[in-house]
Amino acid sequence: MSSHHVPRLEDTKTTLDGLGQRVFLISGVLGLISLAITFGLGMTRGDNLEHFAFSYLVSFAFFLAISLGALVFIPIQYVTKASWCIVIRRLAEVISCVVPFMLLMAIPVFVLHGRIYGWADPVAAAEPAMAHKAAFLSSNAFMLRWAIYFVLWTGMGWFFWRTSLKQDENGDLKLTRKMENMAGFAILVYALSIALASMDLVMSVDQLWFSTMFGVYYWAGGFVTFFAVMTLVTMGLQNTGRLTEIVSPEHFHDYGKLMFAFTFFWAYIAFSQYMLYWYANIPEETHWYWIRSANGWGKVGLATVFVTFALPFAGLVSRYAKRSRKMLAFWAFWIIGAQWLSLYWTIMPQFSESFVIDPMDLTAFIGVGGIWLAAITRMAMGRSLVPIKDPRLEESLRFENA
Amino acid sequence: MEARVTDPLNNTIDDPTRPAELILGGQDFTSITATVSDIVLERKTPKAWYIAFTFTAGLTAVLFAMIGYLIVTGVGVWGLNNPVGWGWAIVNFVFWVGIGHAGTLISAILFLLRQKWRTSINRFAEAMTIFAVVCAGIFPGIHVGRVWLVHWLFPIPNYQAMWPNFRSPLLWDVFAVGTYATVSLLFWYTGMVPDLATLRDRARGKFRQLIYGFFALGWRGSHRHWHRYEKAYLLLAGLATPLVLSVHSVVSFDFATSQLPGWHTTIFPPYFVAGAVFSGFAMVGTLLIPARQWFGLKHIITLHHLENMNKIILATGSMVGFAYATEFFIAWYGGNPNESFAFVNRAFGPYAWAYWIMVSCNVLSPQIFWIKKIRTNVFVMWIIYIFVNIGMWFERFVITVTSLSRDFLPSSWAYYKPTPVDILTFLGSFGLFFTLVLLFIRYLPMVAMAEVKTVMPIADAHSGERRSVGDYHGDIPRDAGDTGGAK
Repeated sequence: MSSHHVPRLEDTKTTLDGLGQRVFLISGVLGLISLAITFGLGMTRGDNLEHFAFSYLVSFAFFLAISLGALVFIPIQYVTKASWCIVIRRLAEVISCVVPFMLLMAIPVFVLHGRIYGWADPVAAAEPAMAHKAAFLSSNAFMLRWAIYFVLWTGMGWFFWRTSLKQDENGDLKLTRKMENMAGFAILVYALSIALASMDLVMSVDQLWFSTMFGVYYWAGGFVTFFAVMTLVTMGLQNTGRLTEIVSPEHFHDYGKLMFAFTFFWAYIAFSQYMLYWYANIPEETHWYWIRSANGWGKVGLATVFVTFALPFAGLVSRYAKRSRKMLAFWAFWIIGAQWLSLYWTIMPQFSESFVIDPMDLTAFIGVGGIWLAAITRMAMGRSLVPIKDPRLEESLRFENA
Repeated sequence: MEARVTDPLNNTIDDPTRPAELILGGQDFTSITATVSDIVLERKTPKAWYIAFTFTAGLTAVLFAMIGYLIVTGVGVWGLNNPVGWGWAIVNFVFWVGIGHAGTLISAILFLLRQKWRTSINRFAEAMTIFAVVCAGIFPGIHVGRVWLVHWLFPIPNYQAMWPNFRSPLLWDVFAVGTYATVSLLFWYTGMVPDLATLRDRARGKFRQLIYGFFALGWRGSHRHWHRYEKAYLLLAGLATPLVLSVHSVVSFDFATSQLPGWHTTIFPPYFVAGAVFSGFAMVGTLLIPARQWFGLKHIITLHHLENMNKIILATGSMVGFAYATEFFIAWYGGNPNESFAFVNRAFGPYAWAYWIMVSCNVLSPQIFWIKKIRTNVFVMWIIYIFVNIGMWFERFVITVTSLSRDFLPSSWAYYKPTPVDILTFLGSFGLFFTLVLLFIRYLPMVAMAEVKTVMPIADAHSGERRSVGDYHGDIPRDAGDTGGAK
């Protein structure tokens, strides 16, 4: 390895060109059609779109979490002055800066929030246990908080995106320093906002249940999925002749390590949350798990132990697996599916008493996912897929897992 | 914007085009070996060492005297009352276990993350891990009441055919801390083998050669030795990484599995881990700053290292603050009056003084590390470390005592106060800790010489491609002949 060949940017293609147009159109149209089908199916249920709202919420929360994973990945790279990630950082930037677009995608959740959230139901909200937080969990406060989250996230995403693009033009080192200085602060704002947002978006579906860990739980799931998406996006680009050579097996090895590490971290958080409530056995805390262990949901919960944790953990533990493109791609797909299932199990039992995957769940996934992918592609079109003048680019090209 | 560097030992200037230089002052392999091993082998033990050792050994004697008094008299000598059945003993236990976490994080997680700067400080931090676990282990041991039955903590078949309660998190603690102590010791020792060989080779006097030689396990620095060493090191790092999370998570279960307001909350495991790393780094810094000063290690343990540590302290301190805020929020949000009472009582009840010491030391004081001037100022950072040490002890005190002293039944409420025995036992544990640190500094290599050498530019076969290293290029074996090489 001592005579390691250092690849050059000139050796490969670093723009989307025609591919962008095609992916944008295909995924966008597919997404729109799927959403239309989901909506159509929802209308036929005669439940005032309640089922539709829940199916949509699962997929919306899922893809939002991936973009939010990207949103914090970038400042973490700056604050640690990391260099391995430079060749793939632009991809993360693109994924993160569609967060403002997700506000548009949140409209169905806002419009239908009365069908989803227990607190928005006048009968449930009248319970004595809700009295003290009635003002907090009200439609207006909910919308106001979402406006604030999106302002913060958009500001954060666009700051790093804009500054990084600017560096592409002039290669100014001061821009790197500027981002390094902002990164710590950005992470702080991010942590506070995603913790509260996850409670609003997912936890308050059950207006009575609470868990201090919930923000970390939602974040960890999104973060590991983000690395799975990065793996597949990078591979997809390489399969079409882009970023070849410059993104080496070393970088994929790191994707593998991160997927492995955060699969474990997610399981650690999920286990701690479950175990502590199970052990103390206090009814106002365990009712959430009771709903999720009845009528087939318990089997899903148990399955996630293996599907979301044990199998990918075992599958990714070896160095060989992390450096094999095929196995890495397999586990990346797997993690995306598994994390979706876990989020499904977190949200859906609140709507349907027993576990039945509805066609709407799948069309909502394709719908939200397709439009999300189209938005990402749109952002990447006409840009370089690599921050070409980042001062640490050279180091990133040389990167080796010693 | 470009700051001009005048101090040759200041490597904290951020230059995105290249990583900071980790070892300063034009060092080569020989000078690193000489600097570190001479502290142990050549330099005369400073008078200050003897004075310090006498003092800490005296404190250690106080610890054992207090333990003796406790065993002879019973736990009534402590300030425990009804309902506060867990007082300083558990507080001190959690405090000391937490201190150890810096060592494990530096040696395991930072190793897996390829953080080269860890090499200057890992040995010191790992040593502290072990000493801290020793101090921690004492407290549950003497807290059991009948100390002569302490072996019942372990699932040993005994004459009464009794087993410990496997469902109790206290038993999980025995396993978690036991595993932690074992792996930390193995890690520390494995990493030290090449350096012990260096000491063996450089030692004058038969006795020293024999002792260091015995512990060097016949290390000759061959390629095969290095190959196995690095494999073992990587495996131990992989094993120790989950331990960073597991130990303090299990410690947090001692509290969080209960139904007591203020203890029973799901964020406890990661929050305890963050707090442990936070307190551990502060303690490492507290001792590292004087050590680098007195033993002339400023070019090896540089300002850049300290700055990085301060960034970790800022990050973990903010996580701890985040957890405090989340707990408060959910105590209100959850709507359980007992829970919200517990938190209001913490902040405004009879122990409010302790709560606000905790908040100002842990959450507020490290925030000044946002300012680069301050996180590179050795004097100011040392003061902050002291604050953090104090704050993290108070955190455990606040958690333990506030929730217990005002439980569900107001008629049984009581104010807990420590007795002089409590205080002297705790001070005595510092005596034990510092005694072990002093012995370590005196007899073992404080800096991982072999590891430091690997991060120096001359160890990099590619270094010639970026900067000129003259005659060294390419033909230097990684241990340069003086790290325990056969002579």
